[in-house]
Amino acid sequence: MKSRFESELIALLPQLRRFALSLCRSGDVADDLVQITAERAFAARETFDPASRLGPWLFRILCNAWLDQLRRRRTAGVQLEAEELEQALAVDGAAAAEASLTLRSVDEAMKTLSEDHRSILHLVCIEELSYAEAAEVLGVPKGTVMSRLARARIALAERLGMK
Amino acid sequence: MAEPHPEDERLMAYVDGELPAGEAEAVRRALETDAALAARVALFERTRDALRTSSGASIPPVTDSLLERVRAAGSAAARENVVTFARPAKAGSSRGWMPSAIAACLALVVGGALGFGLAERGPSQPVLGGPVSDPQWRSALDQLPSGESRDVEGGRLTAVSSFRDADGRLCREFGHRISTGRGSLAVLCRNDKDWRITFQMDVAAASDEDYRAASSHEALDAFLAATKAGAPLSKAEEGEALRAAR
Repeated sequence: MKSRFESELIALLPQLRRFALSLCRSGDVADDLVQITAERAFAARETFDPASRLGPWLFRILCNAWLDQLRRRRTAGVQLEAEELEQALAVDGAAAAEASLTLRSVDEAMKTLSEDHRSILHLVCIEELSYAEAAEVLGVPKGTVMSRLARARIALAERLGMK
Repeated sequence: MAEPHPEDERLMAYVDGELPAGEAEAVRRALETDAALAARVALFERTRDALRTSSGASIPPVTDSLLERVRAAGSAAARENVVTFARPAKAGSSRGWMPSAIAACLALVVGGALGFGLAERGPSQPVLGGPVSDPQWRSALDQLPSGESRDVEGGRLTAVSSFRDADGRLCREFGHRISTGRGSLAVLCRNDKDWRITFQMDVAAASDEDYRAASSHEALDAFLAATKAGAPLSKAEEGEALRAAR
């Protein structure tokens, strides 16, 4: 006999998996992340306020689970090649914009963004969370969400060659 | 276009419908006459639209195996008929769902109950809360890149990761192997000129690898989550931070 909490959680699995994929970009790791999220959600379900939205609550658990995964990587440098790539592209922005480095595809562009930028863009522009909800999910102030989001969108615009 | 515009956040909030009605109206009027502002608004609109239609927005199918695993987790939780340790949220509490592993862990950190018995602790091993005075430890903290190990008197140190805590202080996770099968994991944070231990636990680790490939360090994870530790720094960021701190 399934509880309502469980039914709603299962209904949100596709969105959870989509968010997980945006973070880790590997189907298997994403599935593991979603499973860990579900386990922790079931363990903590009494602390969920049923008047609030289940989606953002689960996203927050997923974010923390992802941070835990990152901490267990063998070396510190493994997971952040994207950040280094983003910095490398930023060094010569003018040349990059007009030369063949302009990335036409949004997906290609997203891959070169840092994880902070990717996750904030996903939460607000794809999951359509409000700034306040995104702040709750990430555990940062709303002001941080706004400044990070603005920088992320500008970085994305640059990659896409928008003027 | 790479230059940030002073109005960026406000214009973006306008595009995202996050401005109160009065402010939104003011922006709308300004757009009628200011082409530069309008171009900036267009940038935020176009990036938002681009993301909505990207493949990252398409909903991937959930595999049967994942669905099964989640259902199994749900059934297991229902069978246990108990919510593992978690306390119900109080109205207005902003940390409503903090798992109790964290509460237990914080108690241990404060009480200093973890770690080796004092009799076994050599004079050079740091004590919870105190500044690290041993020069070999300090040298490793200041210089050893994450992922590497170094022998010191009294054991072998492994640098696991570096990160910033909620206050922006530089912190490092280190493993300390005393002998085969005995060691500890510690989190040390930098305060002005000192490194201080903020977390410590015994681990049974056979090799340096075990500190990095921790199979279950729930207490450590809970501590890091509760204290809102940041994500691990990249090699470049870590190098910079360590140089700046010296």
